Parts: sequence; C-alpha cells; structure tokens
Amino acid sequence: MSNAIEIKNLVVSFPTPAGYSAVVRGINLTISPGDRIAIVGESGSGKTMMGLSMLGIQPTSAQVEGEILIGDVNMVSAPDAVARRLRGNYISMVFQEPLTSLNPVRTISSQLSESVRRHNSISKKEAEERVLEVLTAVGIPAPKERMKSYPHQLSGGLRQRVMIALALINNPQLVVADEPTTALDATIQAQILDLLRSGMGDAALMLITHDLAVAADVCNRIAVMYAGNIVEQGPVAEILSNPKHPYTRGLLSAIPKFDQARPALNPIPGSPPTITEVVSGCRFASRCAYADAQCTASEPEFINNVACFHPVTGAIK
Amino acid sequence: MKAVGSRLLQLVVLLGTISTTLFLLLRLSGDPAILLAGEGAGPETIAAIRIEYGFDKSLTEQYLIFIWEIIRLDFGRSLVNSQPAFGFVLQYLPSTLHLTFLAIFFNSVIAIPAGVWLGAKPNQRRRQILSTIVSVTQGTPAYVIGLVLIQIFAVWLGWLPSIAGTGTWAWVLPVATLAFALAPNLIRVVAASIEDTTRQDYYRTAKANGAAPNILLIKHSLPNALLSTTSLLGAQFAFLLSGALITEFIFAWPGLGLILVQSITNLDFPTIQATVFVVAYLVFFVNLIMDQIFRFADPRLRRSQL
Repeated sequence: MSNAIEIKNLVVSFPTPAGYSAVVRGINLTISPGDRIAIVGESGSGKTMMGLSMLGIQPTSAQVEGEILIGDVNMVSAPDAVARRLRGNYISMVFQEPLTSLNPVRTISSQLSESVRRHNSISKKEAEERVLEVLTAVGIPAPKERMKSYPHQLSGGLRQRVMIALALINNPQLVVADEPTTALDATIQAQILDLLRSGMGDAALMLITHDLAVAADVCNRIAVMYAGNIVEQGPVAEILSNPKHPYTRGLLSAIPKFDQARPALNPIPGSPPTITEVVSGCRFASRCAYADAQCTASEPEFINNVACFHPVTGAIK
Repeated sequence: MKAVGSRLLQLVVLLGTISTTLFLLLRLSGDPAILLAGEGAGPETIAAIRIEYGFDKSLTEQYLIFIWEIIRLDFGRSLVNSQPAFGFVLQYLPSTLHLTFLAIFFNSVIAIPAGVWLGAKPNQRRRQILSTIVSVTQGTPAYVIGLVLIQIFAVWLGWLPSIAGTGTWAWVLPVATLAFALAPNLIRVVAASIEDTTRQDYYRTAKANGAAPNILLIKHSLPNALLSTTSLLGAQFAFLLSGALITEFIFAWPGLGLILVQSITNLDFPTIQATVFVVAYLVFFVNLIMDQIFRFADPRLRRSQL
C-alpha cells in the first residue's frame, strides 16, 4: 500500500433551506505511511467534517462526494460492512472531549477489548493482555487497576490517554486526532502532545487543530484550511518561515508576540463566509489585502502548494 | 448507607406532613364528632363519640395522641365494620401488589421492545407510528380504556369477565387496562432515550471503532437508554400502588384503591388514614429500591451520595 490514505476532490455538504451547502469544498490530500500532518483552520472551516468523513462516520444528514481511498476501498461509496472493518483497525480517531467520548456505564477494559475482539479473532484473556499492553504504552499509571475503572473515575488527561489507547489498540496505519488537547489544561496538554509526537508507533497522524503552535510542535507538515478548502500546505518550516497564502500569513501574524513589552493583537479583519453564502471567486478575497479583480472573478486553483493568484514571498515582518 | 439514611429522614418528614395534614383536615371540617357520627345521629351518640375518640381533650394533647397512635400503626377501628383499620387495609395489599406487578411486567414487555424499535432507526415511517401512538393514547385516561375494554370483551364478545374474583381470566382486563394506560408513555421515553444515545459522543466513538449497528444498539445505546427508562418505571410503579384506584373501582378489584374510594364515600376516617399511610410506606420502599437499582446500573452513582 503506497499511501495511508488518498483523498480526491472531497465534497461534504449539508441540506439547508436553500439546497445543499458544502462545508468541505473539493479537498485533495494524500497522507503517506508514518506522515504527520496538521490540518489547521478556524472553527467552521470544515476540518472536523473532513476527518469524520475519512472514517465514514459523518452525521447521517451529510452528503459526501469524491473519493477517500484506503488501499482499493473507497470509504465514500464502500458498503458499511466493508468500511466497518477498516474503522478502528486501519484508521481510527481521537476526539476532543475525552469524558463524553467514552461510554459512561462501561469499564475502560470492556470498551477497549470490545474493539480488539471485533477486529481480531482472539480470546477474552488475550484481548485483556493487549488492553493492558496498550494502556501501559500510552503512559497510564497502574494500568491493571485502571482497566477496571469507569471513565468518570479518571482525570481528563488519563481519559484522553485512554482514548488514544483505544485509537492505537489495533495498530492502525492512520490516526485522526480532532483537537485532542483543546479540552485539557496546559500541563496535561503538553503531556498529551508528547504522546502524540512520540507514542504513535508506525501510524500516520492527521492532527486537526486551530492552534499553529500545536501543529508545529507535533507534525512535520501543515495544511491550512479556509472555508472548506485547503489553501496552502507544506513542510512545517516552510509554512512558518515563508507562508505564501495571505490567510496563512494573517494567521501567523495574529499570534501575539510575547517578546514585545506589550504584545499587540493583529486579527484578520472580517469573518469567513457562512456555508450558505454564495461567494464568487476566492473565498478569502473579501478579507484579503492583496485581492484584485481576478480574485473575485474566479476561484484560484491549488498549484505549487497554494491556492492563490498572488502568492506572497518573504518572511513575515 | 448514607443514601438510606437520607431516605429515612425523607420518610419521617413525609409521614409527619401527611399525619399533620390529616389531623388538621379532620378538625377543620367542623366538629369531628358530628362528622364521625354521621347524619341524623342524636346528641348522646355524638357525645359518646367525642369521648371515645378523645375530641374533648386539648388540640395539643389530641395531636400527640394521634402521632403516638400512628407510630404504633394504630389507626383505630373502621367505622363500617369495626375491624382494626390497619389490619383491614393490609388484607387488600397483596391484591393491589399482584395487579401492579403484572401491569408493570406487561407494560415493560410491550413498551420496551416497541420503544427500542421506534428509537433505533428514527426514519419518517417510524416517527409517524410513534407520534400516532402518543397522540391517540396519551390523552386517553385509564378509566376510558377500562370501559372500552369491558364493552368490547365482556359485553359484546362475552369472552372475559369484568368483575374481580371470578377466576384467572378476571385478571386479564384490569392488567390490560393498566398496561395500556402506561405503555404509551414508556414507549415514548424509551424511543427518545435510544434516539438520544445515537447523538452522543461515545456512540460516535464506538462507530469510529467499527461497531456494527446491532452492537451499537445492544452494547452502547441500551445500557444508557435503560437508565432513564428505569426512573420512569419506578414512577409508574409508585403511581400504580397509589393511583390504580379508578381501575380497581371499575373492575370492583379488591385492592387499596377500592378500599380508599369506599372509605371516602363512607367517611370512614380510620380506614382512610390507614390506607394513606400504607400507600406512603409503599411509595417510600419503591423509591428506596429504585435508588439501589440506579446505584447498581449507573457506575457514576455508586460512590456519590444521592
């Protein structure tokens, strides 16, 4: 298998009174085995919906078009019975809210071994050994005792470790982590990021985040999403030092610089278009300092890792 | 243990409130001796009753005696048949308990699978079925269901008896009446709880791990949905113990409900009091048992104080 996943022209849309409106608008993305890519964007940019549709677990009202290829299986059109064998096995997901994402009335061990035994024909005892092994690997202290715990008996950080253990338990090729540290406090956040950086084994990681610092910390590649499109992608160093898309530059200069006596906030003016809003041309044009007539006339193609008619060069001041 | 303690405290407060209310009601409605003697009683009778029931003593004294009698479960003798009221009422308890258990059993057997079926796949057709059930049956009181069932099965078809005490078949219509009266609400709650679980994050997690629809339903939806269902079942149980009185009356069922209606009609105060206290105790024990069931079913409650 050459790629962990290959996404071709992915469109995810939802029914609105005015017909279907797309929240993901034609994304192309390839993730290689062992790759670490961050999907960075504001809330509402479609990054979570993209992640969910990669596993085929988008809300039932969503309409998904395009191709999501895992080997020769297209997750968009595959029958549920086929897609199910890949979920939690080949591709898995870590969610934002570790408390509500675990079943409150079942023990940690029962939830984890359920997933092991679904994808492997092994005995209950072997499954429990595997659970113990993976709980130890994600750094849960006293894992043997913790196995018998219920989710509410664990702290937020431990719960998120359990979620990661659940995602890793069948040695997947790709883990999608959707804002895995957003609900945690800062010190726990750092521990979980450590785990994502060094504890993922051979799995490729797609980290969905709104935080560029987190993205740069954990990943080697960044894709920036804006209003349903990937507008720029590249290696972390390249994106941080030499961003080409005006939106990426805006994001980077919006980060307050604490080396100055009084860090000034540099927000990007305006707000993204709503999903029902009809926009002609580039969806960032109305907020962009470089926009001209061409930008509102047609939508820029994604060429040379950026979707912009006027890619900018040089470092940010 | 702490939970049982706090429930016991609730029981004391509950019984205290009920007894004080009863005590005051009896005395607010005029001279209780006249009330107890009934219409057309002569002055000697009234005077005799006044002394027998201690209405000639001061209110405080009367209240303390009243409370002491209640603690000893001595509610006096029935004015109708002169038996001790408490023992008299207790005779009717098993029959009400039987009826309640059977009704709850059939109610659950019908409503839980129906609710799961409706909630598991909330498509257009199932939604319509659900809203039809709810709108047609939820507005129908139990006595209407009872009378309709009697009319059809006892009067027109002649298949089933409508009066208690005529053998096993006599159970069918009262149990059916109560089960049909309770089922729509239970169906609705089960369906809504099941549907609600499908929107929860843990459901999505299970799906993201490849769980098949039947596993999602059995291992993830049901255990959580049945928690909210259990609390309704407990409430329905308590409701039947205290509130099946109209159904018992319609079917002349020898239970607490019938006794309560009769004793109110006869102004048989000792029996009314005894019935009210028996029901209060029953509801208390049902709540206590429900607490324990919740503690068992919901790990989040096991170490907390309810």
